[in-house]
Amino acid sequence: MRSRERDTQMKIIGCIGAASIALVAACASTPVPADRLAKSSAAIRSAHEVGAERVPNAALHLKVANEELGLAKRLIADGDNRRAEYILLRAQVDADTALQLARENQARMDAQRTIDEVQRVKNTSPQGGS
Amino acid sequence: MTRFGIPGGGKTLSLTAGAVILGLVAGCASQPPVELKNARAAYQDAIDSPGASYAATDVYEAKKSLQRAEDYYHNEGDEPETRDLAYVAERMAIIAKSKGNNVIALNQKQQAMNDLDQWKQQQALAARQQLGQTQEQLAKSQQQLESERQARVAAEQRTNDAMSKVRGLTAKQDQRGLVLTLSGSVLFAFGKSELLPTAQKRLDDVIAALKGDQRTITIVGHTDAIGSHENNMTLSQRRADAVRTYLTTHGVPEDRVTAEGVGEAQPIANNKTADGRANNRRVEIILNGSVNTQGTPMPSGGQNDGMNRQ
Repeated sequence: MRSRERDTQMKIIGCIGAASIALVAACASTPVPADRLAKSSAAIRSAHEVGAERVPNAALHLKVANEELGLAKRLIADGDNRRAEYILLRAQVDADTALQLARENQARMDAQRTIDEVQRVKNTSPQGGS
Repeated sequence: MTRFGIPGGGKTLSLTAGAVILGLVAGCASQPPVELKNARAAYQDAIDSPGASYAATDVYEAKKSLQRAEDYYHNEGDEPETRDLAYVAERMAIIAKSKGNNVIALNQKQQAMNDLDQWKQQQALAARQQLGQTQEQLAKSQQQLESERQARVAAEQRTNDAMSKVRGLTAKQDQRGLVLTLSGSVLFAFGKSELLPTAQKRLDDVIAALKGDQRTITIVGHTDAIGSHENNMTLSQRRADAVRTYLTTHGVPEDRVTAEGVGEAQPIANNKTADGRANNRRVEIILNGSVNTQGTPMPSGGQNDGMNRQ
């Protein structure tokens, strides 16, 4: 009876060992996502350049993108390149979202400024607005 | 004893409870992750947004991204990668909607600028029309003024022509206007300021010739150099006043006529001879601002030759 239990324990340990080796092998087989890392970093820079941090809803996405970039770097350092690649994908798309929301905000403000200016010109004309 | 410890339960109840639990487990297992739900909602929101048609490419990319997440979920279930792909799909849908909104904002800006251009053109057109009307009115006014000027010139010319026919009158043009000179001996007795009967005839002729003329009139009395300056000033003023009174009581408006005496101050001949003094004793009737100041020549070269028909 004891012998059977020991056999079972040995089998379990063997399985865990095999699984660990397989997992390490799998991780090692995924290369560092350098391209994705570069794209994410570039996307974050672009979002900063258009002032996304000054637009509330864009700033939120930019903050998340930065956090995701940090997480991905830690995962890479830990050797989890596969997971890091997905997190970098998230970071890139969050940065792109921040960039686009900032642009939209700028376009809306430009439009409103133009509309207000047109109205002002019409109102200050001697003939008045139409 | 029931499997879940439900009081009074039997085997059937245990089986039913087990089925419910299995169902719940199965139900939970079939629930898509929240990221995928969010992605579906975001995609629907994007395609329903007013700017969707302006961002067709981005909407299509969002659709493909969502499909990838759906496929992954279908094949692999609720895995971290499923959530990652759904997360990406949601953001792509947000981006697509935002790009549509961006185009709408740009269109609104362009529309406002077009409106402004159109409004400016309308304003310019209105201004041109206003200018045209003003110019037309100005032209009419100028035409009217010119007609009036011509009428005035004609009237003054008629006056000048008429004056040239008045006997005992010398007419000449100088910077003051048309100057009609009446000899003092024709108008007044020596040292007097009452008009002689013959003077009245002369002045009647002048009044007749003035008919239709609108110029203001200045009557200036002159004496020769005999006597004191004070007496000459007084006499010349009285004589000018007498002529003025005659004119205004015979139809010439009072506000058109002024009178002044200058005594012996403005001789036109030598006071040492009798003829010279006779010429200096005179009354001038000046029609101010004659037509000749506007370029119309006086008849007979500005001097009524032989007009001094005393």
